[in-house]
Amino acid sequence: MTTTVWLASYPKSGNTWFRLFMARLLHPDQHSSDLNSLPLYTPIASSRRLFDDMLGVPSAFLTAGEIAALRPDADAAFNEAGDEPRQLRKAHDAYTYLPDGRPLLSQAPNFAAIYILRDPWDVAVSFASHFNCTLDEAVRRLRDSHLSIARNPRELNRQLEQRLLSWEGHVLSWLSAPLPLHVMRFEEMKRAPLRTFRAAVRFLGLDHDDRAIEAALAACRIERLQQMETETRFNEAPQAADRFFRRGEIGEGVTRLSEEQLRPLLDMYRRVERAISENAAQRG
Amino acid sequence: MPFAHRYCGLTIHSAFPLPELRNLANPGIADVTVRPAAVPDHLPNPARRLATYEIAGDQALLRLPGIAHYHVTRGGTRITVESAPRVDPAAVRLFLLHPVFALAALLRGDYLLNAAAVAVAGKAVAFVGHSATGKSSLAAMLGRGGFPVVSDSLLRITETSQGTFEAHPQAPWLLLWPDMVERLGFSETCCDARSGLALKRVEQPVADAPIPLGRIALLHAQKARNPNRFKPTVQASSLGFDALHLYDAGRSWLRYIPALRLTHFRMAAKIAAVTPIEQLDLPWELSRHKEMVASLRNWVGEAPDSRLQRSMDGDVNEVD
Repeated sequence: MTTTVWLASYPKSGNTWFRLFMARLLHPDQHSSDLNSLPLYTPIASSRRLFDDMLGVPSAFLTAGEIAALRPDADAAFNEAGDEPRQLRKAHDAYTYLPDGRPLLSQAPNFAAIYILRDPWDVAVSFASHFNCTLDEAVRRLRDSHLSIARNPRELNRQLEQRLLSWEGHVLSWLSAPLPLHVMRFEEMKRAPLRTFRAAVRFLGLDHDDRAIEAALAACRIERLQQMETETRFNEAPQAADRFFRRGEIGEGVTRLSEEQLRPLLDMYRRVERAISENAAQRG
Repeated sequence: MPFAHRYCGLTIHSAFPLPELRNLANPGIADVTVRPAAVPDHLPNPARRLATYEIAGDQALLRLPGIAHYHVTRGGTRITVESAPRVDPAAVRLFLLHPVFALAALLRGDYLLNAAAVAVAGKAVAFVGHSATGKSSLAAMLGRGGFPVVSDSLLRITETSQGTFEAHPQAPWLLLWPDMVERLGFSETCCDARSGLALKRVEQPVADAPIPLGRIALLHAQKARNPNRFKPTVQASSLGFDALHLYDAGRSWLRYIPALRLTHFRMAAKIAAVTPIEQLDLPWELSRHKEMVASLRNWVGEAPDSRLQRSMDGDVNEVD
């Protein structure tokens, strides 16, 4: 049976960067200058098309609650259909539970996750650019424990609704998920890329050496991705934004957010760090 | 059976009313019968068993928790419906007329595409694409522009004795979301497709008889990024048969019915061999839907049916 490994993150936390890296690592000979034609299929957890195809039921005719109740079945069916030992799938949903107690995104033994965590002040700045909102609005949304995306009752979205919770709620939900979990910090991906990406590669059970990892990293430098995006528009870029790949810097949020905007994000960050430490102590 | 209807060119005899479909004055022999009764929990020795469906030979189960269980038997000619307690009957019928009917049609050996289609100069132009690519919306816009609607989501295609292909009208409605309903001025003439969902059913005139299949567009709706370049991009598709297979209404189940796979593949190949198939990349900007329709009419290349001419020059809300 295939294992699905969720590549999970709050939006704008480095998920796409990691998936592009994996595409290059696993298919080093399949070069493409088109970001939209990568040789690695990582269907998002909220893919409407996958849901419809796996279950034979049009999700457009189902309520949000009915869809949520069936999502674990769609994911299980996709798992069964896989012929590789593992398949990678993107996920922005928080790790939540259905009214009957089942986790929305399933659990061990057939599911695992790599969670990418980024400082919330930098997420906020990137979020504001991506969703074309003010920094105040971005901070408000990161603090909103009821936040969902792809939720518009007036038209049909290509993705199913995804509950994010607040940034803090999102992180904590994944940290407590009942499945094998590897946490990557965006800041460490930037500062110590070889060590950080190697650890994720080993978590996935892959034995690629440092040369292969470094080659994949070089192919996915932010400058190169920005150049590729000037040649062909990236499908994951929102309509309102002129590009998907911005700066990818550490600490931009600290300089651009006001103290009033930073304070609640710092509070969330501290609580998350405390939870991570307690979690590590319990496991250790 | 007290109720007889026409749907996708087939005669349905039903023990309960299907108000979404036209009544048949002279029913004739039924192609499919529908009745309410208890449905088995499982099928014996299924080729495939999932939470939502089971396939076993020439019968199938489709289970929708809180809505209904549907049992398709006798090679797709009989559908038994066991509704959930206190369910909205419209919800039961919504799924009956879409995935359940598609499953029954598959078992019957019929060929259905997930397609919205309109009639252009007496031929069907079909739009196929994945969910949320705007198929029904395009049909609605073109319908408003004078091109009669042929289908909303299921297009049954049959081969004539001359080796040509015909498209059968689905039903006299389109299923649209509120933004499109309001944009096209359908708010006064629509109703809810089912309770708990914003999806609306909008009545549309539809032909009685099948028409020749003219062309197929693979729809890749994209958001308009350059407002100054608002033309659909068309390219000949090299996918052809592969593309049709992707949009076969029975594709979720076909892989588990080996006896039908070959006939479906052959049908898709035959259709692809004689029917122009193009990839249509359509800039999508709802606020500019008149430009979208004008672009589509240019692409379609024909004048609309004068019998159903609608003026698009004025405010769409003023159209009768």
